Amino acid sequence: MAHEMAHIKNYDSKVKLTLFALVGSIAVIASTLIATGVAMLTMRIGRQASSFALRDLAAASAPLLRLAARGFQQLPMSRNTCAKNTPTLLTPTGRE
Amino acid sequence: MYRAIERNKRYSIALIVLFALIVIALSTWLSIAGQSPWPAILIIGFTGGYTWWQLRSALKSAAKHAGCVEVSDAQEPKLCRIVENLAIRNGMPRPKVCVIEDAEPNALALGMSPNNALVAATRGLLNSMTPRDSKR
Repeated sequence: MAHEMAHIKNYDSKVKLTLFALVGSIAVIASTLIATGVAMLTMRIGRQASSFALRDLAAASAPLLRLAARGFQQLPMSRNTCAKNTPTLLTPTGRE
Repeated sequence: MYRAIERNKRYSIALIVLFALIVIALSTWLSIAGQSPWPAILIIGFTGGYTWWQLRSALKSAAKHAGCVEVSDAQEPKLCRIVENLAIRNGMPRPKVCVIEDAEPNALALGMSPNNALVAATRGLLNSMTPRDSKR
């Protein structure tokens, strides 16, 4: 106990507690910076996606959707159902 | 001993200054990279406030992490008497006395200054103390 009391008197415990506080601060600041970086990156990707990628994705996926719908119509059981419910299939350009 | 005290005070100040310099350098670099003063203002403000709060509450926080439970003279008369005698012998105010519920014999001291400190002993140390130890 005398040894521990000497730590207090010599201010060893002050250095220890200062380190404890600074390490805690560094951990929180690092986490905050990482979270901010991830958020900024996500926002940038989202902005780019809304301006370029979504339009490209829609244009690229239109033939695939058309193909899928055509395949679906060719199924024997679903042909009548499809013909009744979706008589015309419009492409993004408005043509049949 | 006075040299040790002065050295430890210098170390504490040096640690804080070094930390502040690193934070200022990092935030300045981010501000220059982002071409805006806001990252520096936000980081320095947040870091300064949080570190100040951490330094204020470091004693409580460390004691909580170590599992220290403050005890009174009535609860642990032997331990309190030992600590009080040592404090008188060292010419410092009596620190708070805590007990850690652990079977290993150990002790620790925490505190920013002799006026704001605590001394803790584990239950194992208290149980292993002989009557001669408790009279010291």
